[in-house]
Amino acid sequence: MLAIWRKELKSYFNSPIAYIFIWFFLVVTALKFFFLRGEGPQGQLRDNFFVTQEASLTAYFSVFPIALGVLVPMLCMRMWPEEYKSGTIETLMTLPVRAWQVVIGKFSAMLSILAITFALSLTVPWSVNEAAVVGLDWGPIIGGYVGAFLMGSAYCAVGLLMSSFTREQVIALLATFIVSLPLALAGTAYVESPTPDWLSPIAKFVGFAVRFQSIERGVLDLRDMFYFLSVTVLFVYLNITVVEARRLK
Amino acid sequence: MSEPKNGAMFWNAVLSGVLVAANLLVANMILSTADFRWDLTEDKRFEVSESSQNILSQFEGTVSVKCYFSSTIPKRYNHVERAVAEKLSEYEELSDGKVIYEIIDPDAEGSKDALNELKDMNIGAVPLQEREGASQQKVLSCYLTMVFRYGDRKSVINLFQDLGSTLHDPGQFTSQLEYFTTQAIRNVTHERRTVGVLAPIELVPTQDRTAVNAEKRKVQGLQTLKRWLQASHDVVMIDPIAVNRGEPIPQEIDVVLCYRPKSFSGAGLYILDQYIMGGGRVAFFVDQGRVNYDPKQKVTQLGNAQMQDFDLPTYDVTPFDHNLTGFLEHYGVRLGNSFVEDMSNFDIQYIRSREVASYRRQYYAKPIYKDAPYPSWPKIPTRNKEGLAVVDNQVSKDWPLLSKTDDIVLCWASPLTIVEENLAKHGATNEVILRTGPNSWNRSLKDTVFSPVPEEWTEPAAKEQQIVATLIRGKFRSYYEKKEAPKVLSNGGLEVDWAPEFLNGRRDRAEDQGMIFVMGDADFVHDSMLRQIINMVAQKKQSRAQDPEAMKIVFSSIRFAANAIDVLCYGDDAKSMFRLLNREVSSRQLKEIKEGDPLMTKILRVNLYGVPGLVLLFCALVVFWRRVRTGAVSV
Repeated sequence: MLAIWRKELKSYFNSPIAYIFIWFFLVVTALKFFFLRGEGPQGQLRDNFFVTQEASLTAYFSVFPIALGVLVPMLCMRMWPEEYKSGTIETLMTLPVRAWQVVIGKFSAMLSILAITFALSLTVPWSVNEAAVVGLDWGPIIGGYVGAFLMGSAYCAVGLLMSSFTREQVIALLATFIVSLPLALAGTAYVESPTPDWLSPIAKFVGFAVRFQSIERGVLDLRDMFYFLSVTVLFVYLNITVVEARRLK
Repeated sequence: MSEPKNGAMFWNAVLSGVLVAANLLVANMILSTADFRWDLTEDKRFEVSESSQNILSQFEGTVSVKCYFSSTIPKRYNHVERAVAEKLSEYEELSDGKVIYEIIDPDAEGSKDALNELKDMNIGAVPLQEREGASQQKVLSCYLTMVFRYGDRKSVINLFQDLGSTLHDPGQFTSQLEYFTTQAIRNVTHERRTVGVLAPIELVPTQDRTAVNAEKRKVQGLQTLKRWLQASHDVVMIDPIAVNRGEPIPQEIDVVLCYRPKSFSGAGLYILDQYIMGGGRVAFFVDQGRVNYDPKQKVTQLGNAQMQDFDLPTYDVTPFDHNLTGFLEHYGVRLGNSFVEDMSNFDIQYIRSREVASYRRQYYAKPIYKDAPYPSWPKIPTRNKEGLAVVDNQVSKDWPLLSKTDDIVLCWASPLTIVEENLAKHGATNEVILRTGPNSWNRSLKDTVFSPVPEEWTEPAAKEQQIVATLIRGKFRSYYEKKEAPKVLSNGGLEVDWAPEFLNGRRDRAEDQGMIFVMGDADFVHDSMLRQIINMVAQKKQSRAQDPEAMKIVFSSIRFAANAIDVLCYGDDAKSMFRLLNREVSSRQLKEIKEGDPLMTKILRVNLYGVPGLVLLFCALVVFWRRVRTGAVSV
């Protein structure tokens, strides 16, 4: 499993994909937080950092559900299709390792990229701390990153499963988008009007952005964390099942 | 052979996937009823307190909250909408959807309905000044109003008015928002209590200048307090003349506010006493006298012409013979026949002298004002230069009727003494609610002039804190225990008999725990005094009429009085509400960062160019190195 993790990580950093993912994430989130104005998931107005005059990263974290929903598919699209493309899938399938070890190895490599991205984004709280009169309250920041990591891992699990269904990276990317984006947006004000009333409670139950709302302001809710973990476990499990089935075939 | 095997495998995989999904779904459903939340903020600002949770658990149905927040609001209030949305999300979450909220922008296109709703509720936009460019200012009309609805009941929070003094500070605002929100939810979901105002004045609006003459106006106007009380309670008037003639106070009235009583007859006291014996709760806001601080208008001869003139105020005292001293002493509180003076006080504007002026050939005497600290108007709490209270016992810790940021100004308040032996007779307990600062003292009302002219008042060597408000609780014994009921006097001064059913129902001991709130001042919530404070601060600062400093004093005073009534209405339940008022939430503001500020440039460089740039550079290096390694590029 460690060997697979190492191989995947190496392959990530040997291609521009990880760098592009990290670059996009850092620039989009920082740009939105520091300089752009917009609406929050409940339709509330979100001003940029310099206008709100408050040393808080709530608005920064509020960008995460959508940003990760859009960017994580980029990270996942190559996971399984790349094995087909490079012809390593047969080797992988015949190696004396269990299917779950392969899946977890790949999954943990994606989580490592996520962790590196979040680590590089720590310059944002540092900047806010510099600009604050009495410094930053670090509790919500730690909570925000823990929640973001859980949410990111759920996205990764979804993407990993989607990529396992196809040999084409573009199809994997599109398939992940098709699942991730509704998950990200469900229950938010952005999709309020097209959502029928009967679907609204379900949308609020599954929506990542809605689930992330408490976390982004520094309140960790066990229900939200368990939900993200559940999504991760479910999709990783399904991926293991798919790989196992393919292997036996 | 292999086909059915594959099919079975496929269905096994699907089934196991469905089972895992179902298990996780059930686990999530079960967990959705649990409430495990960790507020990671240092000051636990998102933790909705137990008292708020109590209120949320006490009703069925839905409270809908409509927040009318203008998007055109000046930038300094931009934090407000987010703080409100965050707080209401917590309420929505904790109440399992019993509280729902919606944010409406009345300035948005197509928001005619919202504007009509506001108009129907008599809620107007507040004009606010916003700097435009370096030297220009523009006036914006904005709404920051929250409307709580439960069935046909409604409660309105106007953030500019109710939380005006905290709006500029996100920390303070968040700390007080919960108090107001929970109070509004309580007001719409709970049975309203009835407050009877027993005052020797008609509550005519002071603005209604045509209805009453100028002299009368001075003693009128409890409109601000009344309006505030009406948000939470039903307010009814009790005619003091009828009470003095022996008409009982209906026991349906939960609390009686006995405001600035002028003269109680024996029968009036007996009525009040029996109301207390019947479980009624009474707040006494008592003035021991009135200082003559208004100039007396007169006409003087100036050559052949007549001139509108005035005599300078005398600042002597007209004492009130309210007949309550012995009555209150029986219940354990002695009203001092003096006024409290305090070195921590309000700067008043007084008429120092006058000069002759003319307007269109008409001569008149023009007053010349001067500012001076006035010890007879104590300011509570006493604060040091950093704005912190110098002693922590001025406001009761158990019953904090004032928040830590509140300041109230008392106007000629009398000190109270707790008579322990009388309390013991009732088995009652006492809680001092409000004290003056450590630099205060008493001055007797007898033959004393309470002049604001600094040269005319002296500061004694011995000073100590004075009690100005207290709360007595216990199963009281009647003031008339083992005594005959006093006679009732008719209109013509003739003695008449009590109604037999009233005498038969006489109680000498209260069956239930009673509560009496005594405040040695009544003026401090009087409309005319509040208006004076606003005007004095405005003149001193030569600013617009409603200065934030003055408004803070006004709302602190009104809130203190309304909280005193809440204490009597809700007992210990109110106590937990007051704790909300004193939640400490630290304010995390930014340094002043202007366009082009070096700090802004640094932030921009680090977050948009620095780190992302390094990532791209590293990417380029890796790609280049790989090409070199594969021979695509020769070095």
